[in-house]
This record gives sequence, C-alpha cells and structure tokens, in this order.
Amino acid sequence: MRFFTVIVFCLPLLIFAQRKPKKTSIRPDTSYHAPAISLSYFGEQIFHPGIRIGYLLHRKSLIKEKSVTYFLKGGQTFLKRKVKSASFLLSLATYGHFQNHIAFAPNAMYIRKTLYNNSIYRAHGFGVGTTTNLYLNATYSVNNQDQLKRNYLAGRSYFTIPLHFELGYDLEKQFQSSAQIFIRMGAQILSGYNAYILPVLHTELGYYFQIP
Amino acid sequence: MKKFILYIILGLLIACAKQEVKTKERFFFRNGKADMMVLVEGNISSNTFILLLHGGPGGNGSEYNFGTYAKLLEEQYAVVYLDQRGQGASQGNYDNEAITVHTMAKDVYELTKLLKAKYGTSSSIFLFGHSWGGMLGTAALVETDIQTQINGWIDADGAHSIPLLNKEAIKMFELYSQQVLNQEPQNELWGEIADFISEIDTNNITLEQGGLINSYGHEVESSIANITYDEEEAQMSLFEYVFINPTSPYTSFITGRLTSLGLYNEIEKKSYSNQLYKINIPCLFQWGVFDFVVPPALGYEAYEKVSTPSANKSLIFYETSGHSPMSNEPEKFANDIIAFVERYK
Repeated sequence: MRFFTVIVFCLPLLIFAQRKPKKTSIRPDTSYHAPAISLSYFGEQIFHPGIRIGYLLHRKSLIKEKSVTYFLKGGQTFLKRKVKSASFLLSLATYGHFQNHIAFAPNAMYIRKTLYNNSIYRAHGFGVGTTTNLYLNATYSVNNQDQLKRNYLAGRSYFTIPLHFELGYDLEKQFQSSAQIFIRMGAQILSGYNAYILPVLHTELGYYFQIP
Repeated sequence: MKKFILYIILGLLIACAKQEVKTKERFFFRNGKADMMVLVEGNISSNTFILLLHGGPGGNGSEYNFGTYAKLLEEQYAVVYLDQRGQGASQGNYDNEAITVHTMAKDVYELTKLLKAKYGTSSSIFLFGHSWGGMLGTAALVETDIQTQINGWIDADGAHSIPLLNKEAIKMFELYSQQVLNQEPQNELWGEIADFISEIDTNNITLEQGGLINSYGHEVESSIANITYDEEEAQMSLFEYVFINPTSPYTSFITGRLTSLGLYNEIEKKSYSNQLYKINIPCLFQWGVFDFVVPPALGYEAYEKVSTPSANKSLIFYETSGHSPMSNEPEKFANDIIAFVERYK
C-alpha cells in the first residue's frame, strides 16, 4: 500500500519531468481589443430567472509563453500560452421573484481574466452597484388619520457589492470570430437590507461577442 | 342557433364572474422604512380576519400557510399571514435600532388599522400569535391601543416571558429526564440534558444557556412517542414551502437569522408577566402538553393574569401535542379557534 501511494504521488514528477530547461517569455499585449457585449441568463439562486446585459471594456493584457520539452511524450516541445487581462464590465441585470418583486441591478465591475492556450479561461470580478427591488403587488400604508394610502410599483434600493467567479471557453478557433461562452457563479451583497445585509446568490450562463 | 351561442357565452361569463370572489391577496404593508409582506388568504367575504404572528424570531408567515388547520380556518375566515419586520419576504432600509419588540408591536398595531381601513371598519380582527408571535402579540396588546381594534387574542404556546420560560423548561427537563433515565439509563439525549440542567444556576441563566434550552426543547419533541404527527402532511408542507412559497427560503433564512440575532439580547430578558393585567379582551390560550419550548406553565400564568373576565377567556391543552398543536392536532386546534371566533366576532 505504501509503495502504491509513493508511486501515485511521484507520478506527476515523472510525467512532467523536463528534458530541457523551460523558456519563459512575458510581454505586454499591445494589439487592439474591441469592446464586447455580454448577454446572459441571470438566475437568482438559479430558480428566479433574469437576464443580464453587459459592456466589456478591455484595459490591458499580458502574454506569458512557456516552452517545455518533456522526457515523456516523445521529447516533444510544447508551447504553453497564458493571456492575463484586466477589463471593466458595465452591466444591467434584472431578475424576478414573480410573486414578490422584480429587481434591477446596474453595476460596474473590475474583472481579472486568465486565458489558457486560447481556449479555456477563468476570471473573477468585483465592483459596486445598486439593486432596486420593485414590488409587483400594491404597497399600502395608513396615515395619521387612519386613511389608506396605496402605491403601485413601490420599492427599495440598496447599495450593492457584486462578486463573481467565472469559467469560460473561447470560441475563436471554432468559429473564427471573437466570442466566448461562460458560466458565472456570484453574489451581490445588498447592504442595508432590513438593517443588515443580504448576499443574493446568482448563477449566470452567457455569451460574450465583440462589437465588430 | 345565434341565441343558443349567446346563452352559452352568457353562461360562461356568469360562471367566470362567480369564480372572481377573491380568496387570496398579497401586498406590502409600509410602516416607516419597513415594508412587510402580507398574504390574506381564505374567506375574505366573511369580513373576519385572523392576523397570524409567526414564531421565531426568524420565521415567516408562509410557514403557517399550509396544512389541515390552515385549510379549516381559511374556509371560514380570512387568515392574514404577516412576514414581520426583517423576516421572510419583508424588506426595508432602516438601522438596527428599529429592531426592537416595541417597534414590531407598533407594526402589528398599524397593520390592524390598515386592515380596518382596507376591508371596512366593521371587520372583525382576531390576533393570533404562536411561540415568539405570542410575545409579540402580548407586547402589542400591552404597549399599544390595539385592543380597541380587535375582537380577541389567541395565544398558542406563546412566550410572554423568557425568564419564566427558561425556569419552567428546566423543571420539565428535570421531571422527564428522571422518568426516561429510570427506564432507559443509556438514553443519550436525556442523559445529555440531565447533565446540562444540573449545571444551570436557575437564578442566573446565561444567554448561551437560554439558547441551549430552546434547542433541547425542539430536539426532545421527536423523542416523545405521545406527540402525534402527520408525516405525509409535513412532507407536503415542506415541499410547498420550498417550491411554491412566495418567500424564498434562502432569503428568509438569512434575514430571519440576522433579525433574530438583533433581537436576541432584548428578548432573552423580556418578561410581560407583570403587564398581562392590561389585557381585557376575550382570550383563548392553546397549549401542547408536551411543549418543552414554551412550557404549559406560561399558559397557566397568562390565563390567570389577564384581566379578561373568566367567562371570556379559556385555556385549552392538547394532550398529544408539543410546541405546535396546529401540526399535532390540527382539527381540534382549528375547531377551537373557530368556536372562539364565532363567539366574539
């Protein structure tokens, strides 16, 4: 058993052992990146459906390339490429608790993204925003004379801190167009909600495409 | 032929019109910076409303909108399910100083005024509190003018005094742990409870001990064979609560827990025992015999101390119930409320 465990733990050392010292190059990416539009299903806790539209502005990126030659895999040399980028996303999300309220959440986020070999990418972001919940039912109150006052589409607004983690896939190779699909798990922390906070969890499934 | 079609259309219109009798209405009730979700369900045309104050703090009105007892009550009257301030689907922008029993009692009073303004001043309103709702209802009765607005007070296992509740729960734990451990010395839960209560100084019960008394109170219910429970109904209620309920269980859990924490220090020391004499409207006290969460001694005290004449108050015990007789003996529980409401509406 111990022998087997040692073999299992040492296997990656064997697989990734390199025949030549790896070469690394890091350079800034100076090419033009057009702004992109994102469209996604925005589900509050998945079940409360909504939609999000975003405008992504590229800020800067860095290209990191490594060439490695393994002992295994026939001694071939592989080029590993990572593109790290930073961007801003301005977006508007809306989702509904249809027996209760509909929410509008505009926000601005700073996103850090790492693209691996022009295919899979991961990203995370944080930012600031607001969430306005508009009630779908009437809102009543009584005044000092005990008279009834009725408001339609009353609501409450909250300052929001949005956070997310994203996994995506670059479709450029497949479709010769700059587009990506992604799944995003996140939270919007509503501050001052009932005197405290409410982290609203959301799941997104969407698509980025560059403005031609 | 034309006449025949016209009759059919007229018939369909009449049939549709008949079904338009409102049995369910949902709205928000705004009081200051708090917006509270209200669901009015049942026979609204009866003009008799049972305003239900849920338990917790940290619960919500929708938790009570299921099962046999709710169906029986809703057939006769309209039941008003309120999500109290900071709980359930209720929202707002206010600071945590607005999370007090008194503020919440004022919410209840304002809501009764709203119901009168909305459904007519001739409407009959009965206040019905369960568990924590019993404390909130008592607070509204003794700290506001709500008694001028309502026809009666229904207190089901209501916690009007937490210090008394803790002492009485310890007495019940002592009694039952001795009985159980005599028969089953190896019983883990009751052994643990016996050890726990042996270390408590009943004149100085800490907040932490108070929290554990409450937890054990809920936990022991599942070990008492005398308590009846409709498993199928409980499963259906859970399904409806998670998937059909307008209140998101997640949101309700988070906001409810935070509001409960905000109230904790205040309510753990709160006692209305010395103010119960201010209550003089008809009262119905309903208690589960095996309620370890809010022991029956609180029911006795409330019954004895309110100023309501004996003819207009009653105390009913449910022999196979724990903390929630509406789930344990739903028919009897609902029928007792119906008899009370019929008498005083």
